[in-house]
Amino acid sequence: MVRPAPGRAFLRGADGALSTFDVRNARSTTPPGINDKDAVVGYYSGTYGFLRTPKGKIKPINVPEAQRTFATVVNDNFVIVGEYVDLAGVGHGSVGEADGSLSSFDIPGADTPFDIYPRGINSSAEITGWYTASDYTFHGCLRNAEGSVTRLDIGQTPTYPCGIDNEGNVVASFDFAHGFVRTTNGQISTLDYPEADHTLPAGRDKKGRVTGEYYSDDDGIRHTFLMKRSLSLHTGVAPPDGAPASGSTMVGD
Amino acid sequence: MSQARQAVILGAAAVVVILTNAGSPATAKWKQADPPGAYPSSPSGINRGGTMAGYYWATNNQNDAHGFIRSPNGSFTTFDAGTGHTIPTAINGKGDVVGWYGPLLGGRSCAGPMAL
Repeated sequence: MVRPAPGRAFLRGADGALSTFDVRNARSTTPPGINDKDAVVGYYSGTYGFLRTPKGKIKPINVPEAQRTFATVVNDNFVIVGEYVDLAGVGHGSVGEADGSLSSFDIPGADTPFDIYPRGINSSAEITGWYTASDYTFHGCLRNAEGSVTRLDIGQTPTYPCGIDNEGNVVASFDFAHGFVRTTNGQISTLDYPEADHTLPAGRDKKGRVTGEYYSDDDGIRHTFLMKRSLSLHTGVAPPDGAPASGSTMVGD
Repeated sequence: MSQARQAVILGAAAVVVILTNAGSPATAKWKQADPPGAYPSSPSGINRGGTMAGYYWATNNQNDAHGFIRSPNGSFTTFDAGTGHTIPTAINGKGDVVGWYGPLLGGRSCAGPMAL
């Protein structure tokens, strides 16, 4: 399950103004998502989702007949995406539209995932994130604007997408060791900080600059990186450097 | 040479070109972007304009994590939201940062369950 971070939430404006907030009576308030209109989404007490409107009003988000609901990302059209866990303990993706309608999604071919964590949404409501399968393996997923969901894995390794831009490019990591960018046409560009054993991206800006953390096994000290220019691209056919030889880039399997 | 044989040779040559050019590190420019004195640090995200948000521990002070913001020109702003760790989780296009603070670590980072 998604573990609650034991703390209070804050919002720091670009001007430096800092405010804190809680969901009333919550043991913890965790806000993983914010849009350009300052709507914040998150979850509290490890059980319920919430939306904090741009005016600061907090509204609970609870999927009917779910034992847990988590809101994780929101786009500028106020499409709120997250996860809910049904009464049988199975996780499902959830998509809440600005008009209040709610839909869910699952991973095709996945055997009762117990955790789905949407991590990125763009202006077209394309969604990416990861899920944990019933065998405790981690996989990436991608939901297009029409609602079709595909797996997004590099070989058989754990894959963690963490963002998607408005063009549909996904930034992610795989095997806890390498970063990659997947373009809309399926091309994969691997990212490895020089001499580092682990390169784990956290996001990408509109110029293609990628940030993330890197570290070496020698000391395990994590550092922040900024990569200012994209690598040349692989085709969707050729497996990228660092991917297991037995597994080609698998998208939509 | 038959046209079929020529096609096979050209196709094979194309594959070789693809694999040879794939992922050339010479085209990437990497830069360490730690806040001054960070030991260690981790970014939570970057907005479309290139402003980054993240958290770090100060050298020789492993007690609490602090938040940081790195502007596109490379300047840093650090902050604490309250008592305990300050963990930014996301930054929007305007540069507003959201996150949480408290005495214990938990939750998620991009690479999965928070590793730090």
